Amino acid sequence: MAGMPSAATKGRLRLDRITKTFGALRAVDGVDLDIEAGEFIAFLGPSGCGKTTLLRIIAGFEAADSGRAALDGRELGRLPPNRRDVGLVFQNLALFPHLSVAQNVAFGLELRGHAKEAIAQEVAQALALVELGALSGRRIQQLSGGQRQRVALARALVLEPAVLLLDEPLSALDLKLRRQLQQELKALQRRTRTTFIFVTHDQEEALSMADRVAVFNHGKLEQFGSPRDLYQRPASRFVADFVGEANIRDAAQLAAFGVRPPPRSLLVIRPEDCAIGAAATSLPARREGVIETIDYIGPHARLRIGLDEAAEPWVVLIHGGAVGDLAPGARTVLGFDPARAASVPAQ
Amino acid sequence: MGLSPATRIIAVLLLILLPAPLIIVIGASFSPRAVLAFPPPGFSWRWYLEFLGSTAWITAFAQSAVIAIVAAVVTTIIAVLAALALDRAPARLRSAAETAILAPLLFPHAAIGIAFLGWLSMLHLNGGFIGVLMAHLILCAPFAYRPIAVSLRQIDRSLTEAATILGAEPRQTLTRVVLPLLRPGIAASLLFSFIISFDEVTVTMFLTGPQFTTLPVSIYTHIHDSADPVVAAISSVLILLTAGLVLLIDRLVGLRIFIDIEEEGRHAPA
Ligand SMILES: Nc1ncnc2c1ncn2[C@@H]1O[C@H](COP(=O)(O)OP(=O)(O)O)[C@@H](O)[C@H]1O
Ligand SMILES: [Mg+2]
Repeated sequence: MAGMPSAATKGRLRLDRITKTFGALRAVDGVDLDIEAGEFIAFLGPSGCGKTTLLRIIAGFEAADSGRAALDGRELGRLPPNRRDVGLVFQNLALFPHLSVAQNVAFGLELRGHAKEAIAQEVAQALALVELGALSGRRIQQLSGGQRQRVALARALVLEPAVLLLDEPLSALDLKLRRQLQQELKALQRRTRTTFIFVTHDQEEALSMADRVAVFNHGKLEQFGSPRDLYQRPASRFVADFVGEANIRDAAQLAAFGVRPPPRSLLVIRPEDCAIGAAATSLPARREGVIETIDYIGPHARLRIGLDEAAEPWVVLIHGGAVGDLAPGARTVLGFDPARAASVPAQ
Repeated sequence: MGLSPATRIIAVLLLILLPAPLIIVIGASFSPRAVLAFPPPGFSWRWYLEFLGSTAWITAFAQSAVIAIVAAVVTTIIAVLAALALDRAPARLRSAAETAILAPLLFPHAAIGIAFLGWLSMLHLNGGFIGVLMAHLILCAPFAYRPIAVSLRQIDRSLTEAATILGAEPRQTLTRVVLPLLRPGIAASLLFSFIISFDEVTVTMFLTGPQFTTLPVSIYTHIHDSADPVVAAISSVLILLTAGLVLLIDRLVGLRIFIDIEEEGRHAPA
């Protein structure tokens, strides 16, 4: 295994107009992606947007209707899954129930015809990497969810694939374990310098783990960029809405503030870029409104401010200490700085 | 469990009535006299010793055992191949083929016996090992196919895909993942086919001859001529053997495997 951090030498994946239809449904629709060696990539999107299908195309379990995929300059074409140098951690893990932990990890090494002693050593290293050394003789049924997760990782990583695909590997775990494994997974990726493609429908998970995130909707790639890019410069209304919270307003809604968005565009105003009360007076765009609800979360509070009954209320995030004696029903001033707002095309 | 009193009474009666004939046979086998009687007029091992001392009986027993072992192994191999092939076949072809495999359960055994008799005489295989074996393969097929097909359907597709992406060729996936996971089905198939073949009378009767016969058929013929308790002793041995094997199946894989064939298909990965 690549134990020491070093520049990634393999794992550059190019996808070129990949399309896959199931009957009338375009599950993957003309996706272009250029992924660098050693990157941690997240595929983010709501359930049913085609993430698993795209992963299965990269793995070779589904054939794309059109488009090309190349790994380190090698066309993947119709190469079968076992000749692609790609690893996959399945959503249900797919550990072999008839084999022990060590035998699961040794499975791929044995197929490659490695010597017995070499296999034992590689398995031990891989299990040490995921901190499971002590459990190598256990049956899969005797492991906890988090331990199984690590066996699946070790089984894939021991083969040193150019790319490791992970299909919502943490979605079945409880929140605490999930956070812990997110950290471990990220550290593991840094150490092995393997290209990771991590599928998730949880935007927080995607933003906190990945170097770059690909956001999908209805089979289409909406945006591919760093977490900051997605949040600060969303490319579409969908991304602005799906990644983080946003007040998305059109020209008509902004007219009362005296603000004009660029032509055929919407403004994306993040809740933390809004202010109320005295803090709002220094901001260029202001209007009076009524506090509808206050969710106090501790470090901050989330308020909904109604400007008039018909319109959608604004979401505002303020410092927890600034709540003071604010109460629902009170009138206040809502302000924001249009210069800090992103704009996205109106449909 | 929430059973009504009436249900309980019926259940208890059934549990008493079902094994009653077996108890009578076993009891009669210990009779010291040369007539079948229950309760036995005394206790002796006489008829067991007669069975063990008779070349004719032991030959029939050995021939039955050989045919049951061969039938179990061959049917199981065929059933594994059939289940693997049908697993990938279009749904309509699969259900047609499964109906054919399960058909021997529905046809009257006497009809099957006569059909085989005619067919085997055409092939000049009457009265021999091969003829009986062919009939037993057909009769065992449903009992071999069911547990294997059930086991196969319980193997999640992601397991074979995992083997593939770890580098396995289709044949390696079969030997390293699919066959090991089929073990419960294969064990059930072997044991049940053995029992079916070992205990079969109706069809086999049409097909045995002077050179080749099986134990249950010999019992049936013997009973025509005399009613001495040696048949009770042999039957008791058969009962014990069968019960032991059924217990073994239940211990190893559970008897549910014969019921579950129509249950949910394999899961597609989410
Ligand atoms: N084998 C298939 N046959 C038909 N439709 C499929 C198949 N696999 C996926 N789909 C459909 O394609 C769409 C994308 O599915 P999927 O890639 O699993 O989405 P995700 O992983 O993002 O939740 C869904 O609408 C799904 O129902
Ligand atoms: Mg999915």
